[in-house]
Amino acid sequence: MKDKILSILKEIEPDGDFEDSLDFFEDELIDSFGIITMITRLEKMFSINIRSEDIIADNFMNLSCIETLLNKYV
Amino acid sequence: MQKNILEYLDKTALSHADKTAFGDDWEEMTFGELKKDADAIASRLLELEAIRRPVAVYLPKSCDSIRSFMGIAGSGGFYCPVDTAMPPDRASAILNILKPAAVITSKKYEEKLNKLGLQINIVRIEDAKDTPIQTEQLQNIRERLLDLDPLYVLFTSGSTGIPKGVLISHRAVIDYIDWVTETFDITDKDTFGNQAPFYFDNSILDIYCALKNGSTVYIIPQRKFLFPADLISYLNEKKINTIFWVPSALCSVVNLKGLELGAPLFLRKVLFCGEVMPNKQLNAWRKAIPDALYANLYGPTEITDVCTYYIIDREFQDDEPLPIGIPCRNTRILVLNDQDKPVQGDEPGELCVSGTCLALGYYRNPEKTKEAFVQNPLNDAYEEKIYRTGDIVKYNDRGEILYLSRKDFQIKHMGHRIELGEIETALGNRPDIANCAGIYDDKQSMIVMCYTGTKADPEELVSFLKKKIPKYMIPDRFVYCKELPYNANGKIDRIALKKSYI
Repeated sequence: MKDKILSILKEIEPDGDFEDSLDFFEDELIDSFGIITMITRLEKMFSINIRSEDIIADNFMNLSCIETLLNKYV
Repeated sequence: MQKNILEYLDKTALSHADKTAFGDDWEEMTFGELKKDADAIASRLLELEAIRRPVAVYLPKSCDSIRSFMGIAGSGGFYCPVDTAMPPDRASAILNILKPAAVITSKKYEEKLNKLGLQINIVRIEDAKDTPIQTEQLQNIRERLLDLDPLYVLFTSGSTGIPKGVLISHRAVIDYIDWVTETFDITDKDTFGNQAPFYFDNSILDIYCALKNGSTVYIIPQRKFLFPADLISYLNEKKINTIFWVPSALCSVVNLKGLELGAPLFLRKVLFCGEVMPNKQLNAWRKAIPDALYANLYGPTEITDVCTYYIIDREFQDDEPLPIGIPCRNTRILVLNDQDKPVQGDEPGELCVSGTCLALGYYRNPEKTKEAFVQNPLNDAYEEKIYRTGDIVKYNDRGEILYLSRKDFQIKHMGHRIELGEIETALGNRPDIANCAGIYDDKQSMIVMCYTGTKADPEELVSFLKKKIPKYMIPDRFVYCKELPYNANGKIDRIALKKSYI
């Protein structure tokens, strides 16, 4: 699952070091437009609909957090 | 009659001495404090004899920036906010055009500034705030200044790769803010949530409404815009009731399902400007906060900020165009067709502006100034300047103006004004790129660069461009082509390019 998530992130920011980052936003790897794109593509890839209360920084901060979130839905 | 925006601050520093004027990530500053600090910074700048000279401000968006702006104005100079996140090449290009009397910065950004390797006078904001105030000298300077003297210069994207510095006078801002205050009933009860960067003209409304009316402006931390829940929390915490945002910021709240959690509690005035506002997202906001005032404002940097406006007074379907409305008071709009005659009925034409709002020109760029600020073709009796916006518009049945398209290759991407030529020039600098042309995919909001030469790795191209142009100009897709299509005039046929790509 990490690989699938990574593929989406790399599409948005080709030279972003997502694997090692613990805080995508602190490390300025992704901006607000990137977030919308990421969420839209994650929803499409995993055929899910992420609830509004889950669209918070804590759930998308790094690869592990995204994985944890997606496991709630998948 | 006012002749200097500092007269606003002189008044509010007395009438609202202890009220918060500006608040940022780090501090809150009252009107009284702002005046004191501005006078101190102005006094520090006196020895530079900066009257009618530029002083750059190399700071993140903050109370310190505002102090610097007011201090620079107090010394008789004009300010230029320079984005600290800008790639060094671009910052250097701007400072080389500007040749500022000084650059105000902080300890934190001094190293970055020095790395540019330019001969500049650096003034540290931390030290400048402590300068003893030279009241008499500041008074003398104020007396010598005219309302037509420059207040600030904002650099915008240049199609040939060189940014253009739009120079705006005190008079233009005074006229503009009078109009905003009257039209939207701005008082000291308005609390603004600022989104626009200070190098972007939308910020002029926030800053000077505060100074004139004693309103409070909270500079919303950039990272709050990443997730709507954070943003709405912040808006509620600061009791923000008035916003002037770029449509992309309003859209991203809707797109990230932000309004489903509950709309901002205090918001009563929602003004937007800078790009087309899609009705789908606008309607989501209108549904969430039906009693707020919504207004679509339109205007290029070259006319200060806004020249037409439309206060939303009826329903719009998702696919109906939202008007850009009618001229602001004391502003004249001419819509000219190909023959430079006023359009008839719903004939499309170029929107041209005349009035006090016009910039003094592009700083140290007489060539580009002459091209854009021209004699009104309908006036053969005396000198009357109009600004040709390059926007193609038409009138609807109600006499409202509707935006149709651009005349050239300027695009709006995520609220940023970008000349595709600037990206093309930057990319064209690579030895392995023979030719390139940018197109904009409106549906997906993507900048696409088509290029010929040697096929390169997109990651490499991105790294290369990051050193030359701001992040928001970086293309989203690169398409390698064997050759680019050309039209009969020998120019790249961008229409064909767009058709074949999209």
